[in-house]
Amino acid sequence: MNWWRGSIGIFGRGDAVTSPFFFEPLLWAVGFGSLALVTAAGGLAVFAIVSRIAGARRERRKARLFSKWEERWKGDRDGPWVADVRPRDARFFLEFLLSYAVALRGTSQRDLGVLADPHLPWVETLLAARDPEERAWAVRALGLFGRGRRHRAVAAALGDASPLVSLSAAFALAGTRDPAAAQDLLSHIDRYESWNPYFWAHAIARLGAGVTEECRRLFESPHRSGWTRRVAGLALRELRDLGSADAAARVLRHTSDGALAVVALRLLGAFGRPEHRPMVRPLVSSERPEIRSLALAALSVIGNGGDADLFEDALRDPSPWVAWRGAEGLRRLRGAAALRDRLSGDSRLRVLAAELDGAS
Amino acid sequence: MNGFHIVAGGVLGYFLILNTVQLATAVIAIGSLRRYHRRFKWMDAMDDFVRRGDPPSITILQPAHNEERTCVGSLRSLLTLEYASYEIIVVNDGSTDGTLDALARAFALKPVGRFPMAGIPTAAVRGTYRSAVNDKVWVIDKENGGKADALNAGINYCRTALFCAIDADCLLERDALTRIARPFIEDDCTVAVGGIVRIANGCRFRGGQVVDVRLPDALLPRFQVLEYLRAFLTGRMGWDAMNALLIISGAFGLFRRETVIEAGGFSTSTVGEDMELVVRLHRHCRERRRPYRITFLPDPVAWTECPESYAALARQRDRWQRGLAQSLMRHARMLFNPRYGAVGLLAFPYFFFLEMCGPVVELGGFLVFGWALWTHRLSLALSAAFGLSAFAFGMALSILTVALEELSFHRYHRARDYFQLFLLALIENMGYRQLGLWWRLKGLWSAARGVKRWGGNPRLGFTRGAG
Repeated sequence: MNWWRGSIGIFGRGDAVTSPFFFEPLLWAVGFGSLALVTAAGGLAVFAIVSRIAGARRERRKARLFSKWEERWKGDRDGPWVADVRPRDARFFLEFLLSYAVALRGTSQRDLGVLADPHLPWVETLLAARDPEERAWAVRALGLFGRGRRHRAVAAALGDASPLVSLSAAFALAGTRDPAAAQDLLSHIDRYESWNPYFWAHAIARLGAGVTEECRRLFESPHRSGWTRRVAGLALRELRDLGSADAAARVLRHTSDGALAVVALRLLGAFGRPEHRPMVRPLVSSERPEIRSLALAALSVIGNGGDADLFEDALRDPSPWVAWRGAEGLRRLRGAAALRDRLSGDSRLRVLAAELDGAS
Repeated sequence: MNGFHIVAGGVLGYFLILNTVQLATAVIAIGSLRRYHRRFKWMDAMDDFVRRGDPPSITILQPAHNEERTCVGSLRSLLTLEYASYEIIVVNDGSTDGTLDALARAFALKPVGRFPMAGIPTAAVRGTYRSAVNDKVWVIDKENGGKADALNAGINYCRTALFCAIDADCLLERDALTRIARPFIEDDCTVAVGGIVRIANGCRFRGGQVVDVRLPDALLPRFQVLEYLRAFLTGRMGWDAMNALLIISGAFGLFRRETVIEAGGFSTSTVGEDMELVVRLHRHCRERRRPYRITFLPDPVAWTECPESYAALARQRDRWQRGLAQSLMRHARMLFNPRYGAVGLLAFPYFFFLEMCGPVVELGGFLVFGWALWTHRLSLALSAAFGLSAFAFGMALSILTVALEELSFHRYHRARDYFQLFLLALIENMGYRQLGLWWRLKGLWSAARGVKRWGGNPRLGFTRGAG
């Protein structure tokens, strides 16, 4: 059984037979392993080639159908040709409509919904599919083309176990201006807590003024997470809700959450009134530069001449953002010329005065 | 056991570990790419939502040193990006050619004061300019201090929460910012995201964009196409899935400004400032027990020129190896340190022993096996089997990468290019890899000697129009 050792043993002079050398079986294993790997990689390559051929055929067919439908659609926007779309082409047809729907809004999108309508019962059946991708696709199509009952199905998908489906539903609802959709979205918003709050705030604000009351409630609710309250507060700012300043002052009084305080200060900076000033002044000495800077920004709007000392101190703050707000505050209080004079002795701050001049 | 056993065992162990790790990252990358690709189908919905939503503002920082020929075209291309809110700061890093004049003429630059919002030390800033024709464009003119110094100057003048560092010879795809910003939207803990860098040599351009993706004509850049695909699609994708990404290419990365400033900005004392920053960001966040995410996305694309001559490629590889060695040695305390999680226990040791020290082990392997063959201590058949295994493994990994590219992003539309990539996977082990080993060894030697030169690549320019 040792016939092969002499020829391919590790040691050419018979040592391989006597030495308990461990390389040999290991090298065989490496050799066979590499061979197996090459075979696997080759298999994947063949699969990729087959996929390319199949994909190219599918794409050609899709392109042919799209061009046919485009031609017909140009000639007759809601004509009987839609009835000619075969059930097996329903997915392509809806993808064709989706490609237009993302670029259109309002009436034009509703027109597309009419064209899609005969195929939506089939799409609804996909909501029960096992594959999350299928469900997400269905949610997207129903979100763009569905109405009433079908929108309820989209809202129900917010609670889907798959994040992809839930997100698809959230995007679909955020694209509507339906107050009911807003309610649904806000009740599930906690699910996206890892997300950037500004992003969701904007999405909610796009739903329109109908969400203001709910946002105020969420913003003040101590039972909701800090993230949800921040989203609600930021949405109120985008909605330009003047009444949110009082809510912001109340939040600022009770919260120990720095990120929430930042949002409250942003609201006060936008809609605050002089009576909110005592609430803001102490925050100018916060440890967090972001809070110091936003407190100064708010004071420059709601403050008075008594805050000049705070703005002066801010010019020496190590944070450039705070120094900027300080300069802005002084400029509002005393005017551009006075600020230029005040900062003329400091080469760094002179640039700041010049920039504020340029920006005004 | 004698000395030969030990050395040969070490070489074999290195070979086994290297291949196992590369295979593991490739397998993980396959799963990760598959998941990503499934999601990719929904990207248009997501991208649309990002575009219509309120995506975070971004400042693009583009350092430029003696880029007179390419800077205007490159900046014009950046102005065509599809993103709701971005600004561009070109940092003229003490160019001795007409870079600043070219920019001033093309964009009607006017001197405008701009207050720096951070104080990372840099070489002196001579002036700040804003374009009178496009208010997105700013130019910072400063004394020469190197790429890292120029980026730091840009960070000082950046006012957005995120900044995107790109190379002067890069073209971003129109949707690149929309896509690379996604992780910052989806996860507020994200501090850095890297995009994929693809090779533009051989491609056709129109309006500052790649319109026809093709393989380069020359063999040397073709090999680099394969290398880039392997590094990004299997390497970075795999490390990213293990949450242990150590490199974000300096050619295209998006960073959270505040975190980078806290960590001290780019290091000016290494030529691998991109890797060093990422390693430092890991360290910074881990040591402060701060939740963070550093990730890689395979679909935001930056196109770059690769060296077409052996001399330029040798310089580039020398610099990369020096940068790697400098970054790893500076943070050597992370090695096998559980405090740094998967980064300290997996990625750092891999890069330290296999990427940094690998060339020495491989050279040692060649010498010892050569000597053993010469002295008949090793049979020819077995050493040939070992060599073939190494060859087969390298080839398999490359074929896997090409197949992955085809299955996921399918950028090379011409079947000819695709088959050529497979062919390259077969022949790159016959000389090119060995050449790479030699350049890496030289780089390691340069690092040991403390060489600091940059070793630039002459620009060819993105001039080849679509037919």
